Amino acid sequence: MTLAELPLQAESPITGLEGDPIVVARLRELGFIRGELVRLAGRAPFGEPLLVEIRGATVALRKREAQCVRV
Amino acid sequence: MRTSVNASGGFAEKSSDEKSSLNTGVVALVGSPNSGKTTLFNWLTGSRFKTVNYPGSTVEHSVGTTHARFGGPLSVMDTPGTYSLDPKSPDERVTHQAIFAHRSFGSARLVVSIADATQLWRHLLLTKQILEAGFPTILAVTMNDLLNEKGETLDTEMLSRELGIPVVLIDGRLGGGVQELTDAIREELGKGFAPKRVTTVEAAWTPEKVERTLAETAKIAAHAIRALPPKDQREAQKLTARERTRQLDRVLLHPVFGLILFFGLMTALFSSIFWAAAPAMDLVDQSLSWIGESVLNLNPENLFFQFLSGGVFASLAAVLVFVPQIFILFLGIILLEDTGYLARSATLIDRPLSKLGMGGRSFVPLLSGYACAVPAMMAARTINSPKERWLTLFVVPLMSCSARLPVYALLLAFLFHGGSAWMAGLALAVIYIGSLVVGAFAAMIASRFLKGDDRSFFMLELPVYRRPHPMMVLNQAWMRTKSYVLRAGPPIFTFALLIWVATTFPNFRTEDPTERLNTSYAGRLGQVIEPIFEPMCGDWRTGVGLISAFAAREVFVSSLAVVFHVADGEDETTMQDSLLTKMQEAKAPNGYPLFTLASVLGLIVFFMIALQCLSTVMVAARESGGWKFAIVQLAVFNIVAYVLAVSIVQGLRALGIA
Repeated sequence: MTLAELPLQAESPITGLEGDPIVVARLRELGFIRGELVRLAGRAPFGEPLLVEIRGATVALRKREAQCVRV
Repeated sequence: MRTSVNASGGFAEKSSDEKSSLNTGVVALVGSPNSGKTTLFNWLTGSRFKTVNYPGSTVEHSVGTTHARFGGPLSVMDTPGTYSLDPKSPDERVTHQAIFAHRSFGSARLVVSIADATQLWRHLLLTKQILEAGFPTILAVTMNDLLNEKGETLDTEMLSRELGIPVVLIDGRLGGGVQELTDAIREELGKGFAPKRVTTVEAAWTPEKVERTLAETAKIAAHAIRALPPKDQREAQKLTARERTRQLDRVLLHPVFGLILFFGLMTALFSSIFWAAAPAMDLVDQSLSWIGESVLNLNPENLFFQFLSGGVFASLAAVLVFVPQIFILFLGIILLEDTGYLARSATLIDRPLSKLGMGGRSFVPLLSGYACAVPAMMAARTINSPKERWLTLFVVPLMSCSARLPVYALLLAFLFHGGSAWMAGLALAVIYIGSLVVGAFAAMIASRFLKGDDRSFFMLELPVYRRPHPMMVLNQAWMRTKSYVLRAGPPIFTFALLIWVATTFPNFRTEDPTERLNTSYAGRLGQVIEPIFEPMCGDWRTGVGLISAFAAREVFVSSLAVVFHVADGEDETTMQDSLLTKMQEAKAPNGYPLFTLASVLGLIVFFMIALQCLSTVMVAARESGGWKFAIVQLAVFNIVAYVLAVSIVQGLRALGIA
């Protein structure tokens, strides 16, 4: 499953990253690494971007970017 | 003392300040967006110089000298926020270049790495990269108050031992720790290490290494942050900033309320750009024309005094009259940014804008475009995707910038002469919304011509909501307005002077201003190109107005006044009325009235689309990295504007509407 498919408010550890190398590199720099817990906190109006919580920080991600995060 | 240095050339100026720092080296502040880097820079320089980050914001680096109260002067440099030393957008490249290979400083002598105490593990990744590159480094930790609020505290000595570098706590609100930081910088510089050989490191930072380092920094952060003893803990029921933020976001990012609030806030910001700025603009305009007239009256016959009045002071007015609007716009953006709402606005608008090939990061450039395209195009540097950035740069000049306002005011006053004021106001609103629609169409069409290589990403951190510090916000708005005037002012001023020359010579001795203009270079050019304006129902006089509008669009109004011989000496309040009467009486060469419903509508459409601002063309060339983009943009907008204006005039005529 990817982060984009995570049910609302559900929390799950990251199992890996895949996809566009630049997106993946930035995700990693933002702290999206294996083992970190992520939670889908909500969605912006129009359904996108997704609001993702990671270690107390909130990051807005487009669906395509969230699909790079396996959970 | 500060100097804003332009990263890619352009209007950059060098001061003696910078030259002296060549010898001592520059201390660079480097940190993630929203890490409090720019606030620290403001405290250090005492200038409150702001180059904010996140859209709209620090897109260039600024160099300043530390305030005298911190001891001997140190040159410090603020840089655009970056998450790593592996740049992924033009603003991050500015930072990379500024610390590794600045064109006048070389590599930074020392780097102050800034980290948010609540995001320590993540921000230490950048610190580690800076250290590995070989820079002498000091860690400055901000947002410690938010950590305390959570009932935690940072052990700086432990952190310093773990990292092997000095660590200083900075209180961004009160400026605490700044003295300690400057002392630490001096101590490090005083160790007299020959500047180490710094190397760019992005290749060395493999995915595995980033993961390993983050695991390590998480451990370091866990060691260094510990719970406060219970007696120091605040009452348990008090919400932390993070919890408050979560609650606020439930409303502010709500599918219904969030959008209503967003549009409400934008409407408020827009209307204040017009209504709140109007008195100040009138004041600037009137005082400069008063000075101009007084100077001219000293010796009306003398060319030099005419030059001072009609050239220098009028050109100065062309630059300064928009300062109140620019100030209010910057004030609004800084308020949005300092509260944390700006990142939410970008998030809210990301989806609609991505339908047009742009994204949330295009929001601030487009918003700024309503004041002036020059800072708007510079703000587009925060956009990482070349395609989104290209489209944003392309569309920005279509946003109804403040220089168009006087033109619309005159043309609408003509259309609704004697009618009620709200009709003209409504028409103005239609024009403004229309410019958004035109921009959307332009983006849609242009995105089809772009190659599909779309590697855009959004990924925006939403900072906690914080109460802004009023004095800091005001100071920052002022500093940014000042740097805008210094940056955009000289070209606008120069073009305005050139237009004065073109409309004054060669028959500058002629007493009659109308005669002088008619026989001037600009007037002759207008007559040569008159056939071009005939389909738009214009004649050479409209042409002269449109040519002078290249100095600044609002000059269209004053040059029409000259062409139609609206005498200056008349009562000020009747200036516009007398111009309107002259416009109504004006006849085209074929005997038809020159200004009709059709031809004025045509002019409005022309002004909505045409790219008449040479300063914008220059900035477009610089920001897009070449003249090709700027020239294509100039040609496309002016041709489309012309074709549309002609079709509207001719279409209306075909329908029997003159």
